[in-house]
Amino acid sequence: MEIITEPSSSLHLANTSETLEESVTALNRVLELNPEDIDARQRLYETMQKILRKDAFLAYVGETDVNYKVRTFEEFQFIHPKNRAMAELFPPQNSPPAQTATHWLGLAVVGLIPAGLGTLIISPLAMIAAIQLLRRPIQAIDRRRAWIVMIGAFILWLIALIFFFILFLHLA
Amino acid sequence: MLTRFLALSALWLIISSVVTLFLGTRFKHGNKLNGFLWLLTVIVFGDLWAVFTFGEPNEVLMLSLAAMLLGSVWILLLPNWNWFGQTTWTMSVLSSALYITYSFAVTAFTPLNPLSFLFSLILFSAELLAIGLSLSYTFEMLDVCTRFHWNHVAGPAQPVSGYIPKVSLQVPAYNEPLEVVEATLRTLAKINYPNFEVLLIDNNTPDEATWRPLESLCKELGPHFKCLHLDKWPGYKSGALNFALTQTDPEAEIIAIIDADYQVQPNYLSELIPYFVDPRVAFVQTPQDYRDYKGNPFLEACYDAYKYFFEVSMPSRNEHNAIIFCGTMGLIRKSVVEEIGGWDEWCITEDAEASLRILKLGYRSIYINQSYGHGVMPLNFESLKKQRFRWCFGGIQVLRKHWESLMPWAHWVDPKNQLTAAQRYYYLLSSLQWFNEFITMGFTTMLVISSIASMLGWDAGVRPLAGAVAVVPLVFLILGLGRFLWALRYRLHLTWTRALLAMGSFFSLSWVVTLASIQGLIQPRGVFLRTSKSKGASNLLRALVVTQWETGIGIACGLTGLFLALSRPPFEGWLTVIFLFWQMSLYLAAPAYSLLSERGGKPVLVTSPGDIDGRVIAETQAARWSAALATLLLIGFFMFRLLPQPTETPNYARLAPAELKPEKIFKVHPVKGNQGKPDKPAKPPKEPKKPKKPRIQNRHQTVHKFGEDHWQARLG
Repeated sequence: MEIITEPSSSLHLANTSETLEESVTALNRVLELNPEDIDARQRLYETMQKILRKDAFLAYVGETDVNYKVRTFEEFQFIHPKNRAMAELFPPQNSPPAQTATHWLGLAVVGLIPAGLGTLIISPLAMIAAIQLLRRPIQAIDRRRAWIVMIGAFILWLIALIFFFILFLHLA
Repeated sequence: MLTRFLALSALWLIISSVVTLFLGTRFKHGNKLNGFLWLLTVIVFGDLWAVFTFGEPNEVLMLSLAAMLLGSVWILLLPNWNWFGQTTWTMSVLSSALYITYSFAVTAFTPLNPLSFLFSLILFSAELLAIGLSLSYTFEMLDVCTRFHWNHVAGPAQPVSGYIPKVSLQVPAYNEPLEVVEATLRTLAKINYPNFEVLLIDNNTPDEATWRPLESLCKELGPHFKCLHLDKWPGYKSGALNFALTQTDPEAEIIAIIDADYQVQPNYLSELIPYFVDPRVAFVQTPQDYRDYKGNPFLEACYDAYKYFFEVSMPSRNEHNAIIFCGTMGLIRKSVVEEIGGWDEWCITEDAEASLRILKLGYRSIYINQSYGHGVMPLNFESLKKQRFRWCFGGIQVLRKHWESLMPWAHWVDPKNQLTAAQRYYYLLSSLQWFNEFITMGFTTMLVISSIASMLGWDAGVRPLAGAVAVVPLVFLILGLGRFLWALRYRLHLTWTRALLAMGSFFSLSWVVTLASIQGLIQPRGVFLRTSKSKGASNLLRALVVTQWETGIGIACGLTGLFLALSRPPFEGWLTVIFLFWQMSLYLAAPAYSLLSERGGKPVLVTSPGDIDGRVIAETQAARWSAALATLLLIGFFMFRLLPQPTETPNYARLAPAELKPEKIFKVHPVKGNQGKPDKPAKPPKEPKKPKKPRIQNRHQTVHKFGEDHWQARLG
């Protein structure tokens, strides 16, 4: 006797549904259990085309990283998988480890404008943040970022020192 | 020495640029020997003047050798440019570097109080950025106008037997008039490619009566026309296009984005799809072209200004596989869009942002400089402002998101980042160039403040705008404008009048770009301001109201310049007058073009609902930020005046570069008198009389007097 698993039974149900809405509901169940089911995705696409041919209206209800939740004009709600890779969100929701150090470095660049006064203070902070980062177990990319911040902050500090010297001449 | 170096390099730049403007586009060949010979010729001409004028042969020889060395490097690095381009670029780099050095020396060693010095240093930073951006424009223009060999211009693609991938033509629309979209869809129906679908994506159009007819139209046009109305959809156009990916035929391999007002030629797909047979090609871009503009001076100017990007910037970028995907009239591989996670819903120039992410993955792009479709331009100045605001805001967003990927060390930090140095350069510059107008605004404010101070007899409190600091930027400005007109005329085949009008169109948008660049920095998210595709009834008053800020700034510059001219200033003052009138023309271009846009007929007949004006730019809000910045400058200026300026010439002032007298630059010295020997050193400056009391009674007068003495001494 053939054992029918739930996804395949749902797919079967989708094929035999009398209405398009029932078919979509069944396909939703299949995709909930196996989002990568190619047959179910193809069937959902075809069913959606039929629905949209009848009425092109779709309203946004919500979304997750992998699915849209939408409703038709007749208030029928369903989910639709996103056919794409997960995009890196910007601005990032969780701060990357090197963010603090990089921010300090950015401020150190701006700090050069008032005769390097800002940089003289901020560059060491950037270097400290980079050293703290290097002490933590981090990925190689963050390790390299930390080194860039270290070197960059040091060079900026030296430039700021020259600017400050000129300012000192004007103070004297 | 530095001053003489700067003067000589500026002369070399003038000679090479003027010759390039006349002959630079005529020579379609070049070799290294000719390159060296022309470089040598320019250097010798300049040297003859310099030796007779300054009488310092050793200095002249030293700089000439440095110029030869630098020129040799560029001749080797730019083998596909003719010799005029190579030499002009060499001299541009050299004179810019010398000017920056000179300007820094003047900033650092002019006797000023500490606050004035700090303020002058801020001005110097702006100057540094402006010179850098000016160099980038120069490179781009020379790259396309003096290049005789193109390495990456794709020839016509040959049809590949059996390669007919399905194409999904996606037409995003928001509140578009039926007539406009109908014309677009009917041209798409005539496309002579056997395997395509058309997906009309209407997002958030509020009135059902506007989009329902589009649904019916799609049904009428056949089964491969599909309509999708997305209601209350977030993410603006990107959000809609991302959802459209789910409704794109799974068999489709290529996506073509078509704006709702574009009328596409039937051969669009058949001629371009074969390029995708190379799996490394991710996107193909063609120019965005426009229709119904002839006979309307405003639209003609806009047309030429738009075309500049596709005739100058894009060909230059294409040589380095660094083009931008511009959305409409571009084709993109669907699998690549899915690989990068779709269109960015945070960025309002999602197309350009996507192209950067694609190039980061190491894909190729192709620019085909042939028009395949014609759209409608913004029909009035207000719409044009909205569009430019969006582009600028989006450009700054791209910079905020990707700055780290564009740094020289980006590949070392992230080995997955496959952007080449040239790609990083072009993308970084395309974002930074938007700040040019912000810097212009800063200079304008400073110019007005310091001119008023000067007329009131107050000391300006900042580095003086005199001598080479005023003359050399003026030379750069004039040559830059000449080059811009030259590039417009050569690449777009324009008459002088149309080239000038196109240039004015760029200038008229200076203020809105300034606002967008400020907002782009401080505002986390952008508002997608749609460009209106129809024109309402002519309204002269509204045309003036939408440019009230530009008009105000322009009038302020003009009046200041006028009063300064009436006060009969010395030579340096006249340079300021010239700058003020220049800034006035820049800002008054906005009301002039706005009024111009109200003339002429309506290119698009619109009778159906839809096409509202879009949300008005929050210009007042952004302008408040600018006004606040200007107020800060003003407060800063008055604060600097509270501190006394130095009353004695400090020791460090000796490090400031000496000035050249105008007559020394413009007249050849009589050789008889000193027989070519160096000039006698200038007499030491008279010691200013020390005030009787330690506390200065009339500080302004004393400081002003010191300023006069100091500059008289420096002028020799």
